[in-house]
Amino acid sequence: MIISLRDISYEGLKDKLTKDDKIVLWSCNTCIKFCGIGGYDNMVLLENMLTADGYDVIGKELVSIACMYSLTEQHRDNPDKSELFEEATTIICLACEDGYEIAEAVFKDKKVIKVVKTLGVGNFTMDRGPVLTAPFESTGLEQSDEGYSYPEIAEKLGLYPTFFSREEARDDSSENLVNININGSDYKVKENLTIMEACMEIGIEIPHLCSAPDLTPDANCRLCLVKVKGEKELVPACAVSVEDGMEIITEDDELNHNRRILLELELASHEHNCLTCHKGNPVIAGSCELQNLVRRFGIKESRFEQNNEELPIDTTSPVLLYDPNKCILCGRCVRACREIACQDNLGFVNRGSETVVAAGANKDFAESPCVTCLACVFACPTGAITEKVAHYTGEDWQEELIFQS
Amino acid sequence: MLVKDLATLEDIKNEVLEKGRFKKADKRVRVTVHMGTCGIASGAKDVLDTFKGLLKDSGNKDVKIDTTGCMGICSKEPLVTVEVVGQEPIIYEYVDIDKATEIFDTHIEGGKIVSKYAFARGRECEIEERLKGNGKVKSQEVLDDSIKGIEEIPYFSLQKRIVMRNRGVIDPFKIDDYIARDGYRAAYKALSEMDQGDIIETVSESGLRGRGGAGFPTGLKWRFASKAESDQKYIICNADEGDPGAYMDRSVLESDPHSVIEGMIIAGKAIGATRGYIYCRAEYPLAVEILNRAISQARRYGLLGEDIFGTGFDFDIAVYEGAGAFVCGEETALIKSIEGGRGNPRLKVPYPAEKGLFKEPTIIDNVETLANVAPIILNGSEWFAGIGTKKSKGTKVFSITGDIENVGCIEVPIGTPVRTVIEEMAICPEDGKKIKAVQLGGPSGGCLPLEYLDTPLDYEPLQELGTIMGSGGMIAIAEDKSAVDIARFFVKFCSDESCGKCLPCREGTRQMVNILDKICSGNGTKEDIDILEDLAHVVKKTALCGLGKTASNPVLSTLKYFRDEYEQIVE
Repeated sequence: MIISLRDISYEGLKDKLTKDDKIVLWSCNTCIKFCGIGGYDNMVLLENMLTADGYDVIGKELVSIACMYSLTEQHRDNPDKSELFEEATTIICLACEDGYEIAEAVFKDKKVIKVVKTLGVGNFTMDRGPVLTAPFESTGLEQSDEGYSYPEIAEKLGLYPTFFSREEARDDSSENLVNININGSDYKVKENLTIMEACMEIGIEIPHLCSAPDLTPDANCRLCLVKVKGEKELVPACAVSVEDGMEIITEDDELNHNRRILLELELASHEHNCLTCHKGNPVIAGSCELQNLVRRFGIKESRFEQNNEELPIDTTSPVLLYDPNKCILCGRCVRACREIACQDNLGFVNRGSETVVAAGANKDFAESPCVTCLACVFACPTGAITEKVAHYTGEDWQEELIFQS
Repeated sequence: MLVKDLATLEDIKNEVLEKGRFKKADKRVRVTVHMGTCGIASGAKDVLDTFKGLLKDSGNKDVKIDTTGCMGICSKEPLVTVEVVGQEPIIYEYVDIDKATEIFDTHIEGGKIVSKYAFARGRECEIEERLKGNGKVKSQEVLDDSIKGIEEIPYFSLQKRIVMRNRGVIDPFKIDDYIARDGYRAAYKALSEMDQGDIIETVSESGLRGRGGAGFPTGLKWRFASKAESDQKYIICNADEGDPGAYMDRSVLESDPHSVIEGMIIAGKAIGATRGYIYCRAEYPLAVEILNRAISQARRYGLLGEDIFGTGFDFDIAVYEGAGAFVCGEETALIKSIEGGRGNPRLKVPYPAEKGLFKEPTIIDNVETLANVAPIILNGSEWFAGIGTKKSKGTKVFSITGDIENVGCIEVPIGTPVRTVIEEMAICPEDGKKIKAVQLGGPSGGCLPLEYLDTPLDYEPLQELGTIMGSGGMIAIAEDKSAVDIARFFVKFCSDESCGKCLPCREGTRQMVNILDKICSGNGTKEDIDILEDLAHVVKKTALCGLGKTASNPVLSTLKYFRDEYEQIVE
């Protein structure tokens, strides 16, 4: 992975902006995310900070891999986003210098702002996070197998080891709050949040598999269904926004019973065998969300008939492995491919219980126009799509050093 | 020729009447072969060819052969109506090549009715007149009164025809026939004399509710869409009828396509839409052909296209053929399908009336709902509101099938008891088997056991009993049929037709089928019944769209009323 560190302070960033700028945040979702700078969360954080300080952030775009010229162009030319990019005057680029240069070339007429210095190639370690092992000559650092950790580099080169901090910006008191009641307690939360986001801010976790903060909600796993007073039917927390006076129940015997049955159905749908699973290192792509939930609900086995049909595993991609037997059809990869990668290379084929995710024109990955950007890998909640280099073979050294493309 | 005013409509009407379609000026006999898909399937095409051949050979010039859509009583097909000038029309049932030859020789040429093949005397559209005239219509001579008059057959006399007003009378391939039955007058009225508000008001006051199954007030839906601001709005006619045992929409489209087109024009004016789609399933090739023909005829008259009736209102319709997925009858999946995507439902909010097809305000109405619109505009909301029950107005078309004598499409006032339909109109077979339940609403519905047969056919009362009015499929189940088998059939159907998007429907229906298979094979246990019931409740509560939410209804309703049958099998 490419190692970059922030080289600009929040004040320095603000100096480059004016209040008239129509700002779009442009954030890469690959290496720079693991450097603690890009990705979705940091983009949202920066949006909140700038908005609180009175800047006009008109949109944000998560890009699966910002150092790919054609992909960047596709994002710009996406018909759904054409208005946004037409209006924008300023792009703040949360990507490495390579990604920045491409953004600068693609958005010729706009002010593109860089926030990092790219220093070389490195690895991701379990204990020390990202480390720089092969620095560029310009840094003046020596090659090192052990690698330089972020605090070390920051000190040596006068850079910032972490992302901007929320405290640097003003508290946003102008934000509109709504009163809601969750499980009997009253809370004040920001308006326009979904029920799930509001609960997350408060610290209540609603079980879910198909929703992810950086993707549009699809409400297909039905685990996040909650009760809202006055609604006849259960409401998907991932897709419905909070309203003033809303009374929500996120957990009771009935809801948890539904969830348990749904998880049992999921377990029976395929051979979800953790022993053969490549989900691997939780630091890179998160741990298995299905396993987490099954443990959380204390499910030992499914009461339903196990489907033992084995689907062929697709190993053809140079970077990823697709095992449809581990797939729960949450569609996160499909949405990530469309929304973050701007590719639409993944989709569903067949219907009902025969449904599977397929690449391209229902071909294997190598025969599809996959750009190997890894958007689907980071989106997958289980071990269905995994990055090949992150696979464990069981050797000790792998626990310490995880090579990331 | 463009039709720009009422006078032209009137001219066409008179011309049709004049030409002898009804008065038979230069013709002596009119033979009508009823050629719905049901008729064709049972041999009407051969019958038609036979008549044509015989006529050609005989050299007769005074016989006219016509075709229409389904007459409504499909189990008697092929049906042929023979009408001699000045005499009552005679309807013949179960006609085949031999019978057709005999009818041609004896009745058409010889002037004597072949009583043994006759089903009834008279014409369905004249029933009211016949009832008033004590079984007679002025200027029609009765030759053989041993044949039942059509008004004496409860199957027909108990019906109230609004949607089916033109069935069996007009040729669906001829727009003039429709105009001769006062077609497009409502569209003229709506376009030239009423504004958007008036139309919506009239439809609201009439109390018309969506006939697709949910029963949402049509006027209200139109109001939402009319208020939505956009340059482009759409009307979609949902003709993706897919419930097993339901064929009302097909029957309407095949026998009277213009009634739907006219309804769409009026709806278009009401909400300000200029573009309409008819989403018709590809399994209805005849309906698609008839619709396309009807649309091009309407265009030729300027009844579709730009500046309709010279009012400055533009509206056009395209037929979109479905690709065979049942779930595409669900509104949001249907929209996705027209957009060219995979027909998967999405969350209902935002409603299609705000953001529907191509993200523009869209209303989606069922075939039957739209066919009701023109009569409401023409006759006024009070007339319509006078039919039906307190909460639900008008009529409902049901396609009745199963273990009964008379299979076909019937249109009865809402609120008619199920018993009337089953016992008086459909008639239980005479081999002694009793009906034990009636399945309403296809795979989304539930069954209604014998003891509830007096329930009125209305949205709410049926819902209270665990079944639904649905789109109008009604299947009578005889006492020797297993309720478990029926539940399994419908759940299997839903499982096959699930789009696979949401977990409860995708996996839940599969597991319900697994459990029902196990029970039916005799290997089930009492615990299996409990698990099945539990699962069915969870699927109902958690599924994403209407298909999944209702997929367990057949299981739940059979468990409710016929649990003993389940228990007998597992013991």
